[in-house]
Amino acid sequence: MSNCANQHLYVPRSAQILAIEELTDKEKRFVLKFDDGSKLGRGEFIAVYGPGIGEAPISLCSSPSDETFEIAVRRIDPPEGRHDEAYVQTLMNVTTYIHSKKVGDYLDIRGPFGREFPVHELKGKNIAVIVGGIGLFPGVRPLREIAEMREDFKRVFVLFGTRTPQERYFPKLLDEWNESKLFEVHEAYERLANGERGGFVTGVIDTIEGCKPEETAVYIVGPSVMFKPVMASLAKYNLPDKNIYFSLERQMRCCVGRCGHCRVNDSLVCVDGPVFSLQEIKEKHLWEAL
Amino acid sequence: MIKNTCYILRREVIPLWIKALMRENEEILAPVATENGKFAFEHLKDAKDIRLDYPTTALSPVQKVFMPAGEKVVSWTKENGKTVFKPDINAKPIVIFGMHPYDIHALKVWDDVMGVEKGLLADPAYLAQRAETAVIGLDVLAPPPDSFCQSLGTHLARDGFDIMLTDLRDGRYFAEVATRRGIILLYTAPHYEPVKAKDYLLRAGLREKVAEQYPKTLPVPLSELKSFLESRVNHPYFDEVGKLCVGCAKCTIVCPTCTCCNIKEEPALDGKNGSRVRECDSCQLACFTKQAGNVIARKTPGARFRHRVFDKFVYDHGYVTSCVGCGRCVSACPANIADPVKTLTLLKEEVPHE
Repeated sequence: MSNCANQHLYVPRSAQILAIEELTDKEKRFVLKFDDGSKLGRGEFIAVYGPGIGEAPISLCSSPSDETFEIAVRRIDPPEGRHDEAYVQTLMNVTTYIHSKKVGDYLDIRGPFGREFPVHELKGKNIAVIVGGIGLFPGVRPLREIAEMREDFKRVFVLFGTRTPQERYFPKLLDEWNESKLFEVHEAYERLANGERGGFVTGVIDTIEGCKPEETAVYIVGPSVMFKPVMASLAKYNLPDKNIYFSLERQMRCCVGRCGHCRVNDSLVCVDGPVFSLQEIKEKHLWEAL
Repeated sequence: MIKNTCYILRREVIPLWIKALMRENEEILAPVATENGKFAFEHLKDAKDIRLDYPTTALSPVQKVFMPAGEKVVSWTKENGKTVFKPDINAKPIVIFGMHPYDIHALKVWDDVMGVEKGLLADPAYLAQRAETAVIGLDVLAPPPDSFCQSLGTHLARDGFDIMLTDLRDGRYFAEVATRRGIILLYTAPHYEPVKAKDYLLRAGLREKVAEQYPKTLPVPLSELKSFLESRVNHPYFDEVGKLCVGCAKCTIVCPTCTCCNIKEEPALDGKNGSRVRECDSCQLACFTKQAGNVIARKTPGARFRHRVFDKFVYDHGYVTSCVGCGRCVSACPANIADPVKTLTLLKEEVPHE
């Protein structure tokens, strides 16, 4: 029996908050750094722990090459007057705990975990990142990495659908990419600024018209309800299955393939994913995935 | 061909041996009779209490040892605005005495899930406890009710134990010693004899006889199970059974290969220190897959029932099947639907409509 288990598998590390940016009234962005200056390394998400409150997997939105790392978190207020757990608890969850932190405070994190969107393997291709809502948080991680080596890719699209023009989360970044023509940014709002009905992200997918299917990869990240309509809109481009990537979301407790909560058929989202290609989903019969 | 060293222990020696084991080892987990006329693996206090003739126990000793309720994973204290963490790994030496072969096979599934071979991703608490745990197996004399181990090949254990005992039904026990630790355990017995050639034959004959006595047989051959179930993903039986399932999660609590867990918070009242504790969880509960935005991945009881069947027979846990055929879920299920044999039989009879 091998006995090389990592004694600190479930032990978080403390990272200091260097900066906080209010994205909207519900979402904040946190820039974090370890005291000893060590880099976080590769992975799709980290687990943020609030002592006595709980742990939640949170996607990373910084480029893997950054010295610091970033997360963006939407605050979900717990329902008033209801305790979900039988323990003595403050009326707090991990998101409200993170939001209560100030610059200079520490967050306890484990990770990074999970397999990322394979940016390096897709060099030389057109890339379309199709994002819904706060799927933008994990969505910008590969985009920032691509931005660092932009010349290695052909056309790069950011297709972003969100509820209102106020909820653009990273307006500076999106405007910067758009104005510098680094990426082709196309946005769709469900409700426009003047209150009229807008459109969904499926309405801007046609901007990838003209890209050769073999040379085009898409990364779909957002709420699971958006997967099917996006797939339907992509159908006419006949992209090969291996070029369509999804970021799946499941509840998880351990993030290291043990607790079973994130099981999707024969795969575990925490260690085998969360990014799966359509080819993998078909080959491994992951019919629970989509 | 048996390469392991074998000995014969006389029946009257067994209680003396257990007494000696109790002196030398901190904890012996052994089958004892409970007040309600059933059997359970419990911390042995008196060597007389042991019941080696137990049919089966409601809970597997595997869970009791490797996922005890409220097992601490990490402790923390708040110091100067930072949280200081300490891993909690409290392994204690345990001898499991009288473990049936199906539970020994279950332990192999745990080894795979808990990542004995996964290096740095292996579970530290499990590995530590596994190293401190000795397994003294006991061949099944009479198959437990509702069991079908012979269909899955889990009626015999060829490895995974330190000592394997077989009651030869003539006042003697056959002891196969597989490890160094096994030798140390056996040498505490006051008396043991060399084994004779005819004892091997006697044991083989008994084992063969018991294999024929299992009350149930899986209706689908082991090699076809995976494709059989995969072709019945949308079988109407899963909807029907969902209406009967009461969602009590008993089938997963008693299952010796159910490893899913939850990690909960236990903060002290002043909030300055606390710990995270692990306890078993069940895929049969709706909240098991609840995600952000109250999305539930497996919404219906039928989908959760199907998940359990697929997890046991289709998904890869590094082992033939993760079901070991012990039949514990059959007797635990209040709706009388958990039986894998019944499920597979009904899935086989009814033709799925396309």
